[in-house]
Amino acid sequence: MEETRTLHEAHENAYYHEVLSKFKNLEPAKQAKPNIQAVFCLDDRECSFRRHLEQADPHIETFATAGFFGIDFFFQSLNDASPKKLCPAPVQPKHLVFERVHTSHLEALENQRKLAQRKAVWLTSWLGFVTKNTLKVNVRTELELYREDDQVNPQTKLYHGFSYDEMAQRVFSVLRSMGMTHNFAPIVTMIAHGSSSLNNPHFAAYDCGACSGNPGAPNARAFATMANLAPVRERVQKLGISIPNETHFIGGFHDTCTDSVDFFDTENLSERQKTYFFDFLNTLETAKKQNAKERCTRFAVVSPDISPEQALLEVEHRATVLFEPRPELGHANNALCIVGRRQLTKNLFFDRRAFLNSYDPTQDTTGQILNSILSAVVPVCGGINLEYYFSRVDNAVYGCGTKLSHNVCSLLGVYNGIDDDLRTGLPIQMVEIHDPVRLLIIIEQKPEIVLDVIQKNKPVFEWIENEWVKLACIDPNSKKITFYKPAQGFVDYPL
Amino acid sequence: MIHFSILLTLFIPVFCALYLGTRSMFTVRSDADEHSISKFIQTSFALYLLSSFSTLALWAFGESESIWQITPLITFKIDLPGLIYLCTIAILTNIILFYCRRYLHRDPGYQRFFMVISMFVAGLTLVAFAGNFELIFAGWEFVGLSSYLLIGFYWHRPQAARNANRAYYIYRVCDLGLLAAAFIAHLETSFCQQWALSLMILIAVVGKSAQFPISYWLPRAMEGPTPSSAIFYGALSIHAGVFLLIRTFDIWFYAPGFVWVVGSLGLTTAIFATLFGRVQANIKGQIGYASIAQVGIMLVELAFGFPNLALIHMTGNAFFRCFQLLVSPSVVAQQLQIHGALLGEKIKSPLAIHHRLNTRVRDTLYLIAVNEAYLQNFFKFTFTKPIKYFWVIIVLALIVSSHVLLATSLLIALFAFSEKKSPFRVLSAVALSNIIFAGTFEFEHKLIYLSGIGIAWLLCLDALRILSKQEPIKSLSLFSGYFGRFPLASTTMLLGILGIIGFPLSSTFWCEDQLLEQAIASGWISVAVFAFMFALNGITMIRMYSHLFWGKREHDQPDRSFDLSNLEMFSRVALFVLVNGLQIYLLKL
Repeated sequence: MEETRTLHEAHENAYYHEVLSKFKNLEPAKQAKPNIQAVFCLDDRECSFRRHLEQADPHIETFATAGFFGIDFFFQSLNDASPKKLCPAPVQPKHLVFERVHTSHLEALENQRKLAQRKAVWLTSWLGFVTKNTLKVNVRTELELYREDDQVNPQTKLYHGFSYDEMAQRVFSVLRSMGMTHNFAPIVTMIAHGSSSLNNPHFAAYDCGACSGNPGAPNARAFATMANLAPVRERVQKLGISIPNETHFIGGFHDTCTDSVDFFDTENLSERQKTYFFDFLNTLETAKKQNAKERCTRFAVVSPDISPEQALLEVEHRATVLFEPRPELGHANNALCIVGRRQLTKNLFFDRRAFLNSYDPTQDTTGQILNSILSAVVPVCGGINLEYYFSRVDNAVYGCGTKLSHNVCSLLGVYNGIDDDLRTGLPIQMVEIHDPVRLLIIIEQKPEIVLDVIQKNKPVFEWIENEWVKLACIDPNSKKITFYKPAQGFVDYPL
Repeated sequence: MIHFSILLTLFIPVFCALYLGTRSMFTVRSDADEHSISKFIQTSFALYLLSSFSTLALWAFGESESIWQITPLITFKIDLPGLIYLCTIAILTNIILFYCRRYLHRDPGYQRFFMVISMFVAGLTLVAFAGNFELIFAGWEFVGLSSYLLIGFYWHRPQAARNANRAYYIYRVCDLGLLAAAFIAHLETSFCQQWALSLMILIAVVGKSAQFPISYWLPRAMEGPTPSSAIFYGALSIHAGVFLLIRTFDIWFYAPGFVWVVGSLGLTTAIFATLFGRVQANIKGQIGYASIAQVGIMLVELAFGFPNLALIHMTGNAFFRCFQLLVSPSVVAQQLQIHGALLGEKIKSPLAIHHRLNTRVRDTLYLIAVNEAYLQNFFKFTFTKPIKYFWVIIVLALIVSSHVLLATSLLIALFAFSEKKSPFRVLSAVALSNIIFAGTFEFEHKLIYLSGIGIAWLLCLDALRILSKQEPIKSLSLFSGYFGRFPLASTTMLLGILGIIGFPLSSTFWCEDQLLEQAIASGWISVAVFAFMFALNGITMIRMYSHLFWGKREHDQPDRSFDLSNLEMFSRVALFVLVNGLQIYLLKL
């Protein structure tokens, strides 16, 4: 037992050392004046996508924050029978938002709905045919975001929508936590993520972890809509961030399996914004292909010298076939979480292993922002990391074995055969290439401030003190690297 | 021309199984290797599809010859139901193989899977072409063995091993029906003969198609990869019983009054399976029971005298259930979409009557369905348990009627069945009981039979030697999971076991054929003992195999220093095959 532990720690430390030594004498990367700013989820799968986007066009600046973009709510789309929770699992939202059809599409909705219901009864429910998204209505919609009164709905016990003050508070805190307080580009896109796959009972494991395993599209859309409202911008300005009038926010959605990106509500753009936005769409095409190619290197059946165009076709194919147990590889190999400015990480290659969270240490001398970031990042990323870790090291006990023989039970879980136990954890197809390393969180901030923050935040401190995740700091001024040791605090890391 | 086509159709799956089997002795799993396996299997089965359709075309447009007799034992029947069943097999197998090529990527049993599927298709093709009960029985056994191997595909799970065992036991007992039918068919036609023959056919059907009262084994058999469950328990294997009834329609339909038995059995199955299926909380169980219920309805159709209707029904059901099982992992996403489209309302089926029943009746029905009518326990207490005491009566009866040798061989077989410690003793006892049983009769090829048993026994012993090299085998009542460590020794042992229990293709199978003939000649007691021992020895051996090699994950990696080397294994298998081939050659000369 002791030997295994030593060997495992040696394995982890070898990787940590390799990563941390990259930060030694690292020159901060330059950022050209941005025409587009793109905000992603901190997910490790967006790590490579951001890199390819920046490489394709230096006038794109990227940020990342937890993928619910600070909007914690229950959301019910036109295609849902009941609301979904779209925020990290420990948060209990107080708001409910509905999607409603745009007045110009009322009739279309009516027709599509009738057709879908007929299909649902006859084709799907009676004959068992299932195809992708055929029962969903596809019309122009808008979100019922604004709430005039201050009343809790007596039936749902929730606020139906947000007041301007609540919106402003959320927009402000997200922008501030990313350090996005000035230098706004004409277009700011908030890009959430989810994953599409077919014949896959574990689909929620591929979606956004910060949205309780759902696609985060409504959050991105809600954030962009809120940030575009004039009353909200006024209030945000009062709180301390002034968003210029010529800046427009657009919500988007990145499908991490097919690498497609879609945008919501792109109607009200000015001519100048349109030019930038169309350029951005072109750049996205390049980035998508490059990202698909990078992802394909991990698939054993794909030849390593596949062209980017073929790679994109390959990943799109994976999402649409019935017989693909690995539509994508999810968070496999995640091992790092870097909380800091993009200039720190822009020139480094993390091989899709890093959760990146934007944070500007120069704007946070008290550690207040860091505290809110860590309360979301540590349980979400640490939870994902440990889920993969345990499913990998003992798949028979903590994982759920092979996906090939799974039987869906009561719409709530899987097991083998028809009288087995419910299986928890991840299937072997998701974790087989995962390198079981505990998450190393690297924070760009002075160790004193970090120590102060984590010691005051009990739930986060538990994770770090018990070594469920590891913690390192990079001093923003002196670039000195320190490593957290339980009971000792931060000690110098020898390089 | 049509003869060539038939032979080609039969040859392709057999060749695939043999090729992949031989190949697995020499290759280690790798991604490149997967690629060549999938290329090979895809090409071969495309050819299989082609040749089965060309058989159909040749038959339809050429002279529609219906019987092709090579020897009395090897007789093919070419008719419409057979050819339709064959084409269904060909299309579905191709779909499944296309699905599996990618689905099983990186699975340790990639090669094994395709080998077993080929074996399964070989068995079914034989059933589709068979012109007599002997050939159907041979095909039936192939299907049974491949079924057993695929239920236990994830061999390290004890649940899978247990369910594989159960399926095999039921197959083995019900296969007796066919074996008996083969000989009753040669008797003089009379009312009794007709009924006995029909009943034997029905027993085989009940086992294979999981009809009342033993339908519970089929949903539990869905332990392998989803596509394998789809092709076996959704599509082809479950309908083999219906096909048998269509094939033998002229026999049982004209046995006076027998249609009532078939019809009521089908009806009972349909009612009970529907009830059980409705309360299943899991998707594969629901589909499994739904399929069983449909087969029940097919039996009713047959009883009414509509074989063609049953044939259409069978084909449709096969495709549909196969499809449903293949998309069964989608059920969550599918239900979410349905709920969304109907805005949370439930679908009201016009056929649903449960809300019209009074609570008491409904709850009673629910309890019956949830416990699957206690059929498993019922079967255990009325069949499995008494059989343990039943032998006392048989043995006493044998001794009284001065069949001392028969009694001895039966006692030895029972000793093997109850032996829980030493696999050596089990092996030897089973071989010995077979030999003593054969010794009671005078027949032409006794020497060949004895040597066939002997060489299979030696093969098993050799594999046992490998297993107990490091440490002695402690127990047979617990799962030992040696397959992970000794994959090659395990395969050799399986071959040996098949030789001992008289699996088709081995020389012992052809001898047992003649043995049964002798047994029948010498009276019903010896036939009963033969049947009893046939089932018992099969169960004993297969149970020993499962307990030795499956049910526990001991090691992930084969233990090369202790396992047989590739060459050693090849030489043993080659020797075994050669001897068997020679014996069969001698037999047929």
